Amino acid sequence: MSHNTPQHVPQDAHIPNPDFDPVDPHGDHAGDTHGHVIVSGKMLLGILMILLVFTALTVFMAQAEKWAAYTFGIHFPDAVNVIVAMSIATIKALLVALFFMQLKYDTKLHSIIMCFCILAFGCFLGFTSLDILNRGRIDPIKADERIAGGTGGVGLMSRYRDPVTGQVVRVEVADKTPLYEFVKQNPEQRLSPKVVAKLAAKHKPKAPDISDANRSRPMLAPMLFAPAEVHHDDQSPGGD
Amino acid sequence: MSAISTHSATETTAKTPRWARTRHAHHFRSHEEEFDACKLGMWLFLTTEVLLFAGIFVAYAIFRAKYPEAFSKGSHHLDWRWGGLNTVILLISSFTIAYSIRNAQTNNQVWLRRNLLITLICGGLFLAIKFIFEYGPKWAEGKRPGNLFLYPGAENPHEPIWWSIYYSATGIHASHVVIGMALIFWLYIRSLKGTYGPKHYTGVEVVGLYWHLVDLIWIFLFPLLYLIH
Amino acid sequence: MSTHDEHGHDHHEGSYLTPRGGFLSTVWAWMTTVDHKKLGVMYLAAILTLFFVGGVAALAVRTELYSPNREVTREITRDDGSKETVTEITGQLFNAGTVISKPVIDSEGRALATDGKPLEEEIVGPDGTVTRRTRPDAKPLVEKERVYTLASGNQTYNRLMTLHGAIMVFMVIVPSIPASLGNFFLPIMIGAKDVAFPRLNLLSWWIYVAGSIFAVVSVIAGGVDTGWTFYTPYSTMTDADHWRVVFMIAGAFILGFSSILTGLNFIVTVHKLRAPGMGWFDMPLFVWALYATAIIQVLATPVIGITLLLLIFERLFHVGIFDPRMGGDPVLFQHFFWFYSHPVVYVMIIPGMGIASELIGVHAHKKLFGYRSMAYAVLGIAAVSFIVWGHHMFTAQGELAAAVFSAVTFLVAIPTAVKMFNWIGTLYKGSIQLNTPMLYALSFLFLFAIGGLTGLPLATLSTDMHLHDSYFVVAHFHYVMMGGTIIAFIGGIHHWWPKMFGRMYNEKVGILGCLLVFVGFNVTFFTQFFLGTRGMPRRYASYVDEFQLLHQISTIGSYILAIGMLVHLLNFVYSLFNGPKAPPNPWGGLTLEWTTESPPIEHNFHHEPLVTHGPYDFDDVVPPHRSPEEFPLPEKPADAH
Repeated sequence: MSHNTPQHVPQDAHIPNPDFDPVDPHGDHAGDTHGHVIVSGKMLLGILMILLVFTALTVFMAQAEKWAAYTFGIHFPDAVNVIVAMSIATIKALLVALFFMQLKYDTKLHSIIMCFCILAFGCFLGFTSLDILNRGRIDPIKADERIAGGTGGVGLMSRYRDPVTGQVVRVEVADKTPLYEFVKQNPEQRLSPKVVAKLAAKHKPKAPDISDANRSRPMLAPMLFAPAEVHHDDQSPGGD
Repeated sequence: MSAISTHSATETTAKTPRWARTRHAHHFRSHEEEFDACKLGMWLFLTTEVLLFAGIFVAYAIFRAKYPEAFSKGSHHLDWRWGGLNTVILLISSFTIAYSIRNAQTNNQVWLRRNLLITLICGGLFLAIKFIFEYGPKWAEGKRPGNLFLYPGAENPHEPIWWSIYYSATGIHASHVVIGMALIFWLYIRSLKGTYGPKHYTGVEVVGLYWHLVDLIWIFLFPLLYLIH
Repeated sequence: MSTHDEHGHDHHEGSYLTPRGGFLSTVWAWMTTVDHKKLGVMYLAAILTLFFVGGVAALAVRTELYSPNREVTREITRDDGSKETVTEITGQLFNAGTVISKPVIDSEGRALATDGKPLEEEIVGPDGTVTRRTRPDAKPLVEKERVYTLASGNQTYNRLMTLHGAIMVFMVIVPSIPASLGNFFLPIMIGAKDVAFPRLNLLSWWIYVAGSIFAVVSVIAGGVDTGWTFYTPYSTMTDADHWRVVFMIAGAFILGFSSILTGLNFIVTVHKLRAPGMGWFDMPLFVWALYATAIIQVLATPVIGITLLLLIFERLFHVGIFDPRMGGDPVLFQHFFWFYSHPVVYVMIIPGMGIASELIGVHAHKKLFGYRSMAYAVLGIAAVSFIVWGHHMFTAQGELAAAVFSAVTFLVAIPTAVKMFNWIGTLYKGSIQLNTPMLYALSFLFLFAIGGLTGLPLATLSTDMHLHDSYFVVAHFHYVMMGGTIIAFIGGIHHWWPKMFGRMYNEKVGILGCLLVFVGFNVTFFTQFFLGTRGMPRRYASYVDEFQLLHQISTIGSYILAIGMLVHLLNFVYSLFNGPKAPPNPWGGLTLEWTTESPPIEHNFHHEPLVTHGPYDFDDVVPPHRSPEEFPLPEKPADAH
């Protein structure tokens, strides 16, 4: 621990002053409030309320969009969904940072630090996307890699054991069947029978497929999560 | 927090509250300077936390752009009601810890402790919901990351990637909640002794900043994982 | 002189090195110290030890490459006249072999089970036919044998190379200057008693120790062969059950925390604890360099944290984010990795630049040319470092990104050249003393210039396609990392040795060591430029015969280099015990560390210093503790201000 120098402050200097001002605890910052603002309780409560309203709003927006799709067949572009949700999240984050974290009342340095941090994040995301999402922009040969996403299939990995010693020698793709196909065919092999029965009960086939499966949600259209054989018999394995 | 001096001068009377007896560390010129330094240190630490999660967010963005179908299908397996409830819980906890700083500043010891305790309970509730109602059932159904994926109802070969991102993002976030709760518990124990008051609330301030960051990350994770479809 | 506080401690007006109490309590006091000087010294000892280990691995790699590995089949004649063909491995010096398991066979040629009986049993069927089957519940008896093949020798080489790379990067060069010399001198140079968070500093040290232990355990258990870059899918797929890779990755992950905490501490210290009178542009350039370094450490290191965490998930659970078979993207790993690892190249070199500025300023005894531009240049390098990482991946990423990264990479040259010309401008008409630190500074300029200029063909997309993953790259980054950082580091140790330990070293031996290092270094690595342009790929354990001469020259150079290092080591050890006592300001420096005693007292200064002049105002100020006769101020023209 630190070694306190006894000479710099006498002991009794620490007994609080009778006319102690909690806003300016040291008395040496009269008029300069940075870092020591007492935010009013009403203000904090108000910010919390706004945050809760925005939370409700973002959920409402996401639901409304789906509702529009199901009820009226109005499909908004995908970007709308993302932009709305992320804008609301950004507003919420700003509120938390400015008021709960007191950036608004704080020294500018802390805001600058956060800006640099977000800038670094931007560089990270921007340049990585520049590569991965733009493969084949110049040489179209590479475009396929991106679309296929590697080999596309999901291999079930298994540990290859030495037949004599039983030691694991290497891990390799033992079964070329895509994993999701494999578990569809033999669910009871890997999951407990109880869970399998529960899943089967949960996803009972009810009604035919009605709309865009991409926009479905379990609670609105549970039929879309029916057991695989109802809808996907004709799908080729690994189809992407 | 390393610079917070915990020296207690034994000579002073027992009536003097602990926070008023706290002295700044020897290498700072004043308590004010120490407070500013701790706060600056915590903000710098928060930037490292943001950039830690940046990796997850970048991976999310890349794979979402690569496999929109898988991510769309994957997000349908998450129930926005649990996610929304957790968001509300974290927002409330953020509010209570912000309020506890005010309590320390105004020397309201009773509510300082209560607010810390409420924050702690909110953190616990968040984790309970996460593990009992989200991770547990999903893991049992085989909705697991990567090679552990066993869900029979999968419709897209890249759904395991979605679950990898989901578990990595929420798992690392949950570990931050645990760390934050440990820190708040430490604050609570110290607040019982009256360590924090108008003259000394550095600990509450910096742990509060950390907890707000945990909230901030969740504010972005919630729509990304539960709402965008 | 000494006062007592309420705990009854002696109030530390003596040297920080003075032991208090017996041996054990002194050791305990060092282990739990929050004094930045003691932590700096402990870092220095640990880093030099690991530098030795990494250096020995490097020598082993060079020795292995002295001759190519060949499997030679020839016919030999036995004493009894029979002829036999034997296969020999030549040119391979290090071969740890691989352990294979093979079944134990009894005299009748039957495989045995663990209970000593034959593994198979014979069953006579009702019709009299005999079938053999493995007995149920019998396990085959195996014996383990270590075999030495060409492949196992190559794997040993891969492990040595990874050992060298991982130790040198994660445990030596990244923490070298900031954690040791930076920890020691940053607070003193800005006139503070300590860093802002002394206990965090101690934590950072112990995290460094913990991370190093993880890595060392991994190495002792057999090492990893992934290279220090841990590229996927190799690092996640090979050696399936080898937990050593996980240990090595975990070690690097933990070391990252240490780096972050040190950087965070430095930023806060520079912001909050500067002595009165010291504005931002009154700081020594070493402090500026450490500040820029700390910014990179804080902003870039968390990304390697998440990268290595995801890599551990990938390795242990096969989550698939970096696995192409599940649709993951191994190139994404490279982006993640280099987003940290490129900026960290500047974490390595910028403190070296800071030391070079100090050495050149003090030992040329001249006001540093273009002080402000030097400070802005380090910040500029730090800023640019975040957007150029793609030049490590020209052959991996898409063309568009490669072209953009190639263009952006050239931006680095601008601030670097500003620094280079400023150093040379400072030397012009300076009162140069050719002592060991100055010789190291000149070596730095020479070697770093070569390292920097050979970076240009590597940044150019078209030429890099030819030079990528060749020895040209190896030579380039050794010229920057070793010729830049390590040379500056050793120069810095010489420069500050009297201050740190209060003893002078032998100047002549120091100069001898410096010359050996300089010559050895150039012989080792300059030849590798030729190897690279002629097509020798990096990381290979063997090569075609045409390359042998150049490889031999390079290997001999590495021995000269090692001898030079040993000369320095002996010089330092001798100085610690028998060196003459150092004056407070042996070189006539103007920065604050030369105003304290050698070695400094526990709280650095008797009184908080007041800064009244710039760090390099040699034209206006007589250095502290020196007389004007020794360091006369230059005569000024009559019309001077």
